[in-house]
Amino acid sequence: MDLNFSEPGFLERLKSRERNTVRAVVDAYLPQLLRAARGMGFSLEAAEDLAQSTFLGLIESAPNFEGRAHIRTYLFSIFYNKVKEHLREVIKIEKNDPIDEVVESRFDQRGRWRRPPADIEREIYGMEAGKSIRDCLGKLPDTQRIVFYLREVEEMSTQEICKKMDLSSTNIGVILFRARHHLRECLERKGFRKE
Amino acid sequence: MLSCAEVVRQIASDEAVNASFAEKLRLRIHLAICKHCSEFAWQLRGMGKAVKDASTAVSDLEVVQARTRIMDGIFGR
Ligand SMILES: [Zn+2]
Repeated sequence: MDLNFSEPGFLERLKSRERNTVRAVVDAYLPQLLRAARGMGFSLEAAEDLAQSTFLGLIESAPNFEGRAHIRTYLFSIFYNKVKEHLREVIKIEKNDPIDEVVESRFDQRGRWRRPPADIEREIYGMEAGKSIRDCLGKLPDTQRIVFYLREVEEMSTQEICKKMDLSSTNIGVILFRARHHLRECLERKGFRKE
Repeated sequence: MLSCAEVVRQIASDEAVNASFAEKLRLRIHLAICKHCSEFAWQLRGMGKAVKDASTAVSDLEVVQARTRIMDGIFGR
């Protein structure tokens, strides 16, 4: 279903909380919102709360958005704002993350590989690996998981993440660096090696 | 000459994506001749794709239940 603010009367009906209109919006976008929130590591319950407050945000701010954007774009900008608020509460960019040392230990003093990446079985990147990957994702700290999700699944650029999440590009670099190394090390530990 | 550690840092932190043309070229040359770094880069790319595929599924039942609760939340019971 393609809902559009420009459809005559739609916005009015949304503003006045007309039940069928709200229901149509919820039907159209709830699955996407839940999937995105779950992907970022929110529990099902938290994902539901996030979706609800996103829809409420849409209803409340409908008067400000006379036909300006496609509803999906607008709804997701509200959603990302909620995620940003959450990030602000949980954000921790540790001075030291244990992964930094792990990475360091893989190189010698001149920056040459001491322990090169194990030859990970190519299947790890196929369908079979879903569970291992979810396991490893589950071990990521919240901040790393959210930023990694935005980058890799939503395919946002660093610049977009900066803007939407109000983080500096330096911090995003550090967060991505750690998230990717955590995941890669975790997958390697799970023994997906070619023998 | 870029060190392997530096190459890995640039790739993992996305600095490589935002690098200048000259920096990207240096990186590409390194990757062309360094087996370990190119393996590393390949693994990170694959990981991105795999995460997308493995992204937590939400079942129809979960959506229906969530929808009921959300509608109740918006309109009151
Ligand atoms: Zn190298």
